[in-house]
Amino acid sequence: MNYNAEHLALGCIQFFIIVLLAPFFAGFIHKLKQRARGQKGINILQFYINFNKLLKKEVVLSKDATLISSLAPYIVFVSYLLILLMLPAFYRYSLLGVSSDVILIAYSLALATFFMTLYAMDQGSAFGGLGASREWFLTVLSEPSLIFIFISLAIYTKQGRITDIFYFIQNGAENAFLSGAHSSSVSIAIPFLLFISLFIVSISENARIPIDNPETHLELTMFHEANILEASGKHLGIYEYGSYLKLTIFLTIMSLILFPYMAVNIYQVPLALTTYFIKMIILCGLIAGVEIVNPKMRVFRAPNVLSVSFILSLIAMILSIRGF
Amino acid sequence: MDKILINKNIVELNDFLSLVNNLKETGKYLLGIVASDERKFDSKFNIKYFFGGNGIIDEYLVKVDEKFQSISKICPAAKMYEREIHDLFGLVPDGHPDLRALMLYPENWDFSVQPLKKDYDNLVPKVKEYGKYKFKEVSGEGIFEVLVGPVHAGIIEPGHFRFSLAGEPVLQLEIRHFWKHRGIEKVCEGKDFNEVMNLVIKISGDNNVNIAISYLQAVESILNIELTERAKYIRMIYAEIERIWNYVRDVAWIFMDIGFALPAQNLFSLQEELMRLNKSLTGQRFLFNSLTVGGVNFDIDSLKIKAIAETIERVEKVMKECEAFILNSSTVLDRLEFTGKINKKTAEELSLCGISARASGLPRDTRIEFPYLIYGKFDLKPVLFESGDVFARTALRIKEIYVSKKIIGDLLFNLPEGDIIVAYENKPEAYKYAVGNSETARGNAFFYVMADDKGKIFRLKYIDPSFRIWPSIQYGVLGNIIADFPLINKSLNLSYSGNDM
Repeated sequence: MNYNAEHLALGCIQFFIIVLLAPFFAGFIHKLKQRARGQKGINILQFYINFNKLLKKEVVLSKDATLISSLAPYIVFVSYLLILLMLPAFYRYSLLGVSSDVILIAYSLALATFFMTLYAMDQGSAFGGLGASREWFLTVLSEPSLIFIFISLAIYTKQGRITDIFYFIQNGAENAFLSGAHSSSVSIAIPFLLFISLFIVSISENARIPIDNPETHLELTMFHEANILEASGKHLGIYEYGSYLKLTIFLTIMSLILFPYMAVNIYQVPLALTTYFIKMIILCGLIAGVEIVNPKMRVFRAPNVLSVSFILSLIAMILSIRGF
Repeated sequence: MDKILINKNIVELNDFLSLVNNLKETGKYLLGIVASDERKFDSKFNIKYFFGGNGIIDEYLVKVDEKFQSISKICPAAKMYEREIHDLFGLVPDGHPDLRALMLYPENWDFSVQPLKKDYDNLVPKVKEYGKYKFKEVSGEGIFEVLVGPVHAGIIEPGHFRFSLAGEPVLQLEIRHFWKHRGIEKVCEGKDFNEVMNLVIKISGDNNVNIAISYLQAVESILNIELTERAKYIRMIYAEIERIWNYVRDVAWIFMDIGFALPAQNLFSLQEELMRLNKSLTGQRFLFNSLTVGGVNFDIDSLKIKAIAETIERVEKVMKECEAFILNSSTVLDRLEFTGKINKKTAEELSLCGISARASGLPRDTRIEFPYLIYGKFDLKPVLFESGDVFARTALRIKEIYVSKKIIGDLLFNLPEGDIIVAYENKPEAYKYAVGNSETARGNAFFYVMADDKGKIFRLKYIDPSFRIWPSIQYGVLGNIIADFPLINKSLNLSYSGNDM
């Protein structure tokens, strides 16, 4: 694969569009939920305004904090940016497409979680430790599913890079569609299972109802929020933006499994971008729907749900090894 | 005038313990302990113990100089009252297991200054550290503490909760309250009865009508005022409307705390409707200033009757839907059932009242036990649940809304003609006292009011249901995980301001 100026330019555009859209998707979910409850709802651009406001505020660190506390927000944020550099959301040649190994993606996510929980404990507040242990309790349970999802995709397509994986699926689907006949090279079961499995993992990883409640003010029930309870000012802004990026990463991967359509040249970009946006809106609606009709479950019920996700990804993996 | 049967006794210190033991065995429970500085005319402090049960309030008077016998060991409910008396009067309960300061924090208050003594000069001692407060210690491998409050992440009143945890399960919870002690009891002294109404309704705003009913019951009994029938009916209507809106809000917040905002918002809009009804009735969303000594301030005309009837009809409809929704939703039931269980025995020992007692199977409802206004005419049965968990407290509230709706319906239908207020010029006898007792949405509101020789207030003591119930949370959370604490707390929905006068 030769990189040329077009790849570079479109890759950059893709990266910036996703990064800039991330708070919009989070805000959109929030707005949908509020409208469904009969509330007027926030400004859909509210999360941009919040970020801007927080950036101007000073950072207050606990007197027990070490260097980790000053670095962790940036490491977390950069990890997510790194993943977004790899994701082919609507353009096949993402900037870091060459090194977009699925294992790298999975563990960049883990790296971010690791530093976020270090930050939580470094501040020396009681909630930090509580939040960190809860965060790992969920991450440890959802990580196997995530790895299995990626590996079954890799086995299914015999590709290692996420750009190639989805391009392969896209091609297979296109060929099957163009030839008009039932093609044995396309599986419906595997993406379907993986989608559901990834959806459950997304809910857990992004602190959504029924696992966690992103809107709560109750310190004692928090998972994700308890980690950043001590964060203030710029750090808090970066963490919150980071959480929007994480949500966007998961939604984007889901959108690619749901319906992979990536532009390969500049002429396809408008259509691919529109498709991407529509897919993301649908997925936001799905997340909001789940959040509206469910209460938060008991903390120790979470493993049951995550085990469903694991089993689904396991089945998908067996199917892909057997060549469905 | 509502007659509360009071059986007055004076007891000697020596045989008091065995007497309390006997009382407990006959099913009586502690309603309150009231101390009063009567050295001016009696040369001693008076401590009055009020026990309730079987429709009669038993009063036991103990006269003390400096020390009195603690009854906490056989009647754990007395623990908080005795600590309070220790703080505010400097009297020492002999044999009390835990005599740490309750309201006057050693961190900034000189303990040698006791504000409820009559010789207190109304001066705040110099703010500096006079001592330290020692929390209970729990130690062991892997055990850690989580401190919550007094400043919380949401808009909540101040309270400090100290959890000792082994992982998620709670080993022990210690509560420290009274961060904003206002000294209402002291402020009330020397004021006249009408003036104090303004303070009484602000003790705990969301229950102000029922609290005021209790206060007025005591005051009108001191002044020998007989209310008109119509005033009684209207007081009850306001009281029951207040109960309904409180319950609707409580149930909404339980949904909120399990992260289920959709049904919560539905109930919040219902609460808003009720508060607008309040405003149309009295010009006040919280029904403040609706009652006055000798009657009520706002009459109810036929238009208002129609508005009330329509609203409570709607409330019942929405709550029926809500009840069906809870019972049919496994995810909701999973959160509510078996969470925050308060055993019947615990409820008995702590003399709980209101929702907390009835959810644990104790038939305690002031409206039925000591009927006031015209509750006696209604054939009320206490709504009881046995399980004592969050589900029981939620379901109980919903069921009681139906009861209140029925009461209001009957009252509106039979509203007698007449004045809503009686003029009075009665002066109280010197040092006459009376008690008031009413059922708020949280439980039993108990007032002790004593007049002085000029017709002003000599001693006013209010015991909020929250004051009795707060300690029970420490037992309710045992065996639960810390993440469920906010839900347990919300299911009791206690007042910080009523607790801390």
